[in-house]
Amino acid sequence: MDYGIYTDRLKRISLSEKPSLSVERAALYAEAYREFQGKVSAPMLRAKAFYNFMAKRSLYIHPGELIAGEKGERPQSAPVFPELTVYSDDDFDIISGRKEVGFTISAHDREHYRKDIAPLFDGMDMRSRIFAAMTDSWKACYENGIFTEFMEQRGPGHTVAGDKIYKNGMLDIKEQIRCSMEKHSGDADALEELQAMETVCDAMMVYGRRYGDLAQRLAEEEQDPGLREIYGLIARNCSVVPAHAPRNFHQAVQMYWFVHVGVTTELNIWDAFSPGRLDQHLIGFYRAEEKAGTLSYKDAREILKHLWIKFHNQPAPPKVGITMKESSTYTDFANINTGGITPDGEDGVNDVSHMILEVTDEMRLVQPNSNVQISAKTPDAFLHKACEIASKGWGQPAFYNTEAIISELLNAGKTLEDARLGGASGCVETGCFGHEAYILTGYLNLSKILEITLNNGTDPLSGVRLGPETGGPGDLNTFEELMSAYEKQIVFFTDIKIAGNRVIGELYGKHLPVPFLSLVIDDCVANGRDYNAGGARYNVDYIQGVGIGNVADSLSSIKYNVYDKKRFSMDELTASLKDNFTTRGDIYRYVTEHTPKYGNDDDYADGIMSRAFMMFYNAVTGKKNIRGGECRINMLPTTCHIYFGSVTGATPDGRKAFEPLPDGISPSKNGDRKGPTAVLLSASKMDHLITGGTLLNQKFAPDNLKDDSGIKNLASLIRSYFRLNGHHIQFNVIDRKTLADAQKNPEAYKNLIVRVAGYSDYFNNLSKDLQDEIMERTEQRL
Amino acid sequence: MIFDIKRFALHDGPGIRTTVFLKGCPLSCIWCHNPESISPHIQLMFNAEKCLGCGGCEKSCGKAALRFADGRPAADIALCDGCGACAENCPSGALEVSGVSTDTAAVMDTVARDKIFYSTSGGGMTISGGEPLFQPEFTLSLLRSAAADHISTALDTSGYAPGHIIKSTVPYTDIYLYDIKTPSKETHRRYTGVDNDIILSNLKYLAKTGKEIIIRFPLIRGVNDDEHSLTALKNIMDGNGLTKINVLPFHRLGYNKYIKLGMKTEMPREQAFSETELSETCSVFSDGGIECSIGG
Repeated sequence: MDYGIYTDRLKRISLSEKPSLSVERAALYAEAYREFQGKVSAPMLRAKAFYNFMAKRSLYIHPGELIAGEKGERPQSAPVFPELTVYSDDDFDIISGRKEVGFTISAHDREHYRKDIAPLFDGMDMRSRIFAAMTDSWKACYENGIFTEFMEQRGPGHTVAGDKIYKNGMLDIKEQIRCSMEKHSGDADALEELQAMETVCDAMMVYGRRYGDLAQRLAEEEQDPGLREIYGLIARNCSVVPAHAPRNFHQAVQMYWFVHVGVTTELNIWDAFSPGRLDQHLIGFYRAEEKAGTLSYKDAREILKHLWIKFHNQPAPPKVGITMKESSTYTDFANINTGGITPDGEDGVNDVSHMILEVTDEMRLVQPNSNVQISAKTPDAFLHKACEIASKGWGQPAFYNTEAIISELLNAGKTLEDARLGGASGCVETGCFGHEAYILTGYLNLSKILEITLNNGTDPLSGVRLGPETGGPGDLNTFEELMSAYEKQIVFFTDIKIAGNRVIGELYGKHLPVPFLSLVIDDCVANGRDYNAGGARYNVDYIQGVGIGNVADSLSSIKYNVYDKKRFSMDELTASLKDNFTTRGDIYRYVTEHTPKYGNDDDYADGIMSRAFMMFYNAVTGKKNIRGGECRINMLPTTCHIYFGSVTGATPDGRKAFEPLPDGISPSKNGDRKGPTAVLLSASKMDHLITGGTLLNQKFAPDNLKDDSGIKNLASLIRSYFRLNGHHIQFNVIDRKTLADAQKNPEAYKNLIVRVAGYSDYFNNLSKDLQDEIMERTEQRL
Repeated sequence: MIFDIKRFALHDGPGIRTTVFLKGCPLSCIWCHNPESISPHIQLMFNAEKCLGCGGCEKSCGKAALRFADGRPAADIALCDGCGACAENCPSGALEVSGVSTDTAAVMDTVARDKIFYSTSGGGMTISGGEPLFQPEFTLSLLRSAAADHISTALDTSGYAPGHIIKSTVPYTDIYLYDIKTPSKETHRRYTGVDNDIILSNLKYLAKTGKEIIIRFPLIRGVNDDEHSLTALKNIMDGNGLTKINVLPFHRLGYNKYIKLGMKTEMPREQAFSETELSETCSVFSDGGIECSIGG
């Protein structure tokens, strides 16, 4: 039968349903908490609540869908997580009333939540615990926009599945748990954790069995032979997975999806979850079925299309406050990496890779975040195919550099074997898929720290002393003195952040273990330790720097105009910053037009960028985290460059107060004037290989990419940037006029998708500030 | 003397290129869209509308070469060393300086920066102008340096240069972007100020060397867009065994530059060519087996 006949309808439902909140999970978790809290250990409490949820939650199979399972009660329904954040009435008003990224919730559910659920978790939710545990200086930094805190509304996750779930069913994993119990027989904590892992294996099998039974019943009741066949397929698949390892392509996809639902409903973890190197995981199943004649290329593609719809059905659960500002999107960053290399180091492009590109192109959905890894071995044909899709202008795929990712992982102490299985998740974050807990802990406002440096440790906007006194502008007699003051401030603020991360990490390990995620990520089972308590093979805490392009230009402006050319004094400059460049037009003109800027392959400004970057790198990298690993950095913003800009006054490069900062490692708007080759060369003067990922945006006018030579030039830019060790590049291929029109007539552009920063989103879902920022990005001519 | 270096040039030969624009040209085509390329000297480009009248340009000139009077700057070019301080100190951006006296090493330092992009795209350096062969030693030196650095080279030339100069470039040039403004001798003289005999004979010489030659043909309404001109050009190409042409439709984007330079111009009015006209023009060539593209 043709699986494809239902695909369009399922996609339409996914696109047209309004995101809503479901309190079902919260209610079932509350039920279990009431029964077991205080009577069992934390891991067992979490496992029992997970079991209660999986055994009782409502099931949903839409007629014609090939894959079973939703996070909520139906497509676009998001569960809530009161153990992380208890929503107040105000929160619900904001979440349901806001124009961007809103969710509906029924009055009945809201009342149920207020009366029966919230009181149980009030004050004990992680958000409350965190703010109660943080120091005053940490809170002052948080409130004044020095850094954000990822863990205050969503849990640590940021990780990606390896190949374990395609080779092991829950029964196999239970076997491994029992072995581990023997090994850890004297260790009570480990035994509690392992017992919790066993319970969640059972929970998952109950969930699978319930879906199998439902599908079987629907098949028996169904009159339409086509639908009956599909229900039968689901029932058969659920009789194998998740209890056993998948035996064919379709079951492998269903297995992943069950695991996805399990991981993302156990706790609301950042970046949802992702199959990562999906083409590598599925190719074995596909080849076997192709050989046996049991699955056609076309049918396999259709199964993947249904998987894409499943990803798209899940809006990221709502955020509020600063966390909403740093990540203002429904997108949940499930990032699929296609291509790259095989575990043996050969070219990884295979039939499933091509299938994934075609599905990405045909589905045009903002989720999953579907991207490609390009290695030196990647064939031009595959790169060109990916470039052709990118040239259509809706932001996918982005391009990752396989060799850079491997070097970054090796540099962070991973084995070559593990590094080759890695990739980029979320937006651009480097990780060892299947083996690593790499937690993004918060954005750091590098521009704000410079602002504070220029004000001798005080935030000029709030008047609050946040940093140490490192000298007022008049005391900084040389550029080197300024740099040294800036470095002291960076070290000061990153130390506060890292200390906070240790406390928060400990809170999660103690109160919110994730036994189900721990099954999936090695070596939690073998170590008898939870993912949130350092059970993974590798444990990294990332801090994400924002505004490096602005810092580079600002420092370059001071060095060039004040110290080198002596065009004006430091006091004159700071006066201009204070009055937002309104009185001294000459100073504004010098700093905007006649100052070396990052992004032009000018060593003067790029050298300063590199120095500022290294200060941030040195302040963070290698410091110990609470889970037995180290802290590292990456350079990406999601939507935080808008928020950080909104809390930062005018900067010495001519950026006006409260305007957005440049995103990722992109140059400031209108700062780069020498074309994309100069931008890529400038960006490559940062040492990408010592980071955990960097993000570079380039924007092109669509008419530049309409023919073959445009595509070839785009491919050349990517190859060149990757030879220069660039980590990631993504493209917006859209002209300003279209965006301006879309802003005025949102109804006419409902499906307009743009690249934001490491992910794509509907233009209509973006705040006006972010829409403006994307419009203002420099448009390169090809 | 150069007036610009453009990186990521995509229409001056294959792949990703850097184009070096040399200043000075023996032709003065009335449609020229880079009028600052004609004079071989440093020139001020001044936008009176933007000028604040502050006189900062005069104050910043260390050589006393510039005077600000009657609301505009005037430079004594003999005293000017082209440092650019006047433009850099112009708070409104009204004043620009066109022309930089430079040398091979400085130009190649910029050109070599994009080597990695040349190698992934099959691009390289293009020398354009003005007329590069108007500064034959400099051009030859640039070509030699590029060749020594394994950078592919293209020369964008009107061909209006003594035969021995053309000949000297052959060992170091991979592609010639060879301008034919019009095949008609009279029309050529009338609109460019010079005869085209030497241009056509140099083309003949180059064609015999077997080097890759792409004809660049500025299409100007009422000057060279008639069937007779097009056929004559096609015949010249056939006679020399040439198989590639870029048709470059006239535009008036450079008009404001004449005003900024204080130059008179007889630039034609814009009468944009329609898609149909352009494809008909192209078909004169492509029907005869010549690869024709619009634009670079």
